[in-house]
Amino acid sequence: MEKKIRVVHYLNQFFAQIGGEDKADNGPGIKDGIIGPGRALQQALGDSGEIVATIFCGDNYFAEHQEQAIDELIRQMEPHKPDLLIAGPAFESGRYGIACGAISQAAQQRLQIAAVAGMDEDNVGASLYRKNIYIVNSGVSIAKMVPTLQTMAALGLKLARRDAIGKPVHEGYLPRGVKHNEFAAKPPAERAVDMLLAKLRGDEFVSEIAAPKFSGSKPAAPLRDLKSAVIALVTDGGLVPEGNPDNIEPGRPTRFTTIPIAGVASLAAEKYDAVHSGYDTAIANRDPNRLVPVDTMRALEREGAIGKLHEFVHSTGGAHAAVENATRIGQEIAQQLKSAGVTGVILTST
Amino acid sequence: MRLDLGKIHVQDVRFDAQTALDNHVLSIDRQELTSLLAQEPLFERVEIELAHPGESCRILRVLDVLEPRYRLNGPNFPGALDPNGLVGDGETRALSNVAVVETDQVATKSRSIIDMSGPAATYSPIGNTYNVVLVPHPKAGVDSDDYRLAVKKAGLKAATYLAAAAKNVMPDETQTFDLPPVAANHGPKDLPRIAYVFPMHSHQHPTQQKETVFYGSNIQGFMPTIVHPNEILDGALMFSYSAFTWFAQNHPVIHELYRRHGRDLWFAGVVLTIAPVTIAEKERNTALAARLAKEVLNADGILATKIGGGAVDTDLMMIYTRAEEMGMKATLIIMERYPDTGITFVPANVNALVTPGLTRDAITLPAVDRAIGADTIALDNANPDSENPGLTPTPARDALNLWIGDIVGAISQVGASRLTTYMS
Repeated sequence: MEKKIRVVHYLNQFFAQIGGEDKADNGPGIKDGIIGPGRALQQALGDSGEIVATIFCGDNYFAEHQEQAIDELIRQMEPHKPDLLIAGPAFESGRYGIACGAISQAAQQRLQIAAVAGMDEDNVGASLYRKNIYIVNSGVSIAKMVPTLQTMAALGLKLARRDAIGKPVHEGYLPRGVKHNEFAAKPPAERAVDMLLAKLRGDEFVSEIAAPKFSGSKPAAPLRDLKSAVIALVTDGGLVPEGNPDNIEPGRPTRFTTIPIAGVASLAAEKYDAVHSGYDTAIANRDPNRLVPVDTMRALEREGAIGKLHEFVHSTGGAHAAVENATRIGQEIAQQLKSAGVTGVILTST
Repeated sequence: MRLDLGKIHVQDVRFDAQTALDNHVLSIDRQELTSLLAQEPLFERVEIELAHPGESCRILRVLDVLEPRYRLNGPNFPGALDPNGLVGDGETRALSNVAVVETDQVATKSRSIIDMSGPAATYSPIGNTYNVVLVPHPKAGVDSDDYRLAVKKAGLKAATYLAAAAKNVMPDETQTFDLPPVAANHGPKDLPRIAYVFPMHSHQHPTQQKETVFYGSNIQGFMPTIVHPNEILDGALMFSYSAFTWFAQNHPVIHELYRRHGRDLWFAGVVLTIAPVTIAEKERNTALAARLAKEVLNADGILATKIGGGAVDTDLMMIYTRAEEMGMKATLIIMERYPDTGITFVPANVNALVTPGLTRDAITLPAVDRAIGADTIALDNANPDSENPGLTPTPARDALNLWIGDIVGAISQVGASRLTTYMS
């Protein structure tokens, strides 16, 4: 017979039967065996797994002392030598959802064990942790406790045994944003015609690629006075100093470079390169000012049309950027510009 | 206009004293074909190799792939090989399971690969064709762009030379592609009229001045236009980059629209266009392309595909949006690259996308006995676009860690592949 998977179950103060909102400040704790919903979880695990301990924490305490709470919970569960952590389900409770996500991620990283959290797909904890852990969609209704725990148990056992994990729709977890190839029954051209005809008939169809969800950004107020403005030039066209000392990637960027241009009247071709896999860089290499218009900006500066050109150009290569990296690069550049007193930015793309 | 494509199912290819097609066996006079191709003054010498399906053999640095074709009633690849003329009508012979494979002997970063057996061959039709591989070596000092154009022309020569052997051979199967002039192209009222909108190139990597893409034109400044679908199938179009011409000759979308023409749709026609570089040009060309589909082809729905990198995604989305604004329904085929990047330029109104697969998906190809086209391959999986002179090249016959997208023909942007994707 297969080894029984050792399971630890995480609950908040309410489901751990300590109390309601009045006990939300209670710190972490542990108890051997099951508590409350653990009964249904144990049933779902059957003979394949055993809940060796239940850990719990008040929602407020976890939210306000996340690091301590995690340290303590991990320390308490470690002696039980778990193979799997099941956290929740938290349904639509945001603080509980975040706690389930955070403790699952910590167990995965620090104890190198499998973890499954449960919560509604719109729970803030889901958006925070779905990329890094498996989250089973519980919906909002507590009436779904038993089926949710059954799904979590089945997925958790597979993860703990390192079995292959099927698709989200089959295993019940929220997609983690990682795409995989698989063989299809029909070629793409046939599927595309099928989809178009379904659309024309008004039948249901499912797009194979979903539109990405970006967090929007609020545009800054317009500059009132250009004559006193400090303007920076920023590009994703891959401008680098000759030799590319910061090793900026021509595609799939993870970093940016900061190029000093104080006292530079114009970008001389022999001193700069363009590295970028997404466009023909010949023109930019012939005259880097056409990628980043330092020459024109200097003229405007001389005429007094703008106050000052910022003394650094920030540059990265934008081809096939992962959204996370692009977001981070953008934030870091914006932070530097802001602390340097820059009031306006011209972004040149390719 | 009607094209009769007479296919001969070749069962073996071998070198012999004379080039001939006899009893489904293609014999090639290696000397004669070599001399024909070596006439090109930019080449120092040309080698020709054969690779058979099932063989433990790998072809590297693949530049383009062609199906051997010979037109009985007119020019072959007019503007690119033969002088000007038109294609898409009359009779054409095809060696339907033979491919001419061009290799690029100056490419330093090429990862394009064909395995004639093993896992790669399960992904691509080109791993299952009898491949006649051209290995042209440039003379010293020859410009690499000029060399590549010469290699592509050599491919056209070889493809025509080989299929000419089928001139007097009865085809095993004749596929007829017949679509009347626009004014006469009326189907029953209950069949939706579908047009195919086809950006055949993205000028984010511009064509060479002397490059021959469509009827010998370098298609710089190309405006959207109506073409007969048969022209694309019959040698008017060779891709510049990012796609293999075999998939224009065997265009999956055009084949599919023909296959279902009169059954559950009516093939309204093809709008051929490019992806230009500036926003103004993109706005103009995408609106015009949609307008042609709507007001000239009278389409109810359009299907669009792209050739090129991420920059063309914007053109596809603009075509889609313009088409729907004009009252048509739209669907796109759009290739995915990285597992975690997604397609960035998808407006909220775009809800009908089909993927031919994810290119940067790791695959390990086993070692092989024989390699054609290169002795080594420089694989920098962490940073594939960079020149990395410090990298130790891997022997070409070794087991290789590549991506699905490196396998020639595994994922074609015009909708050929065996794949789809799912998100986990």
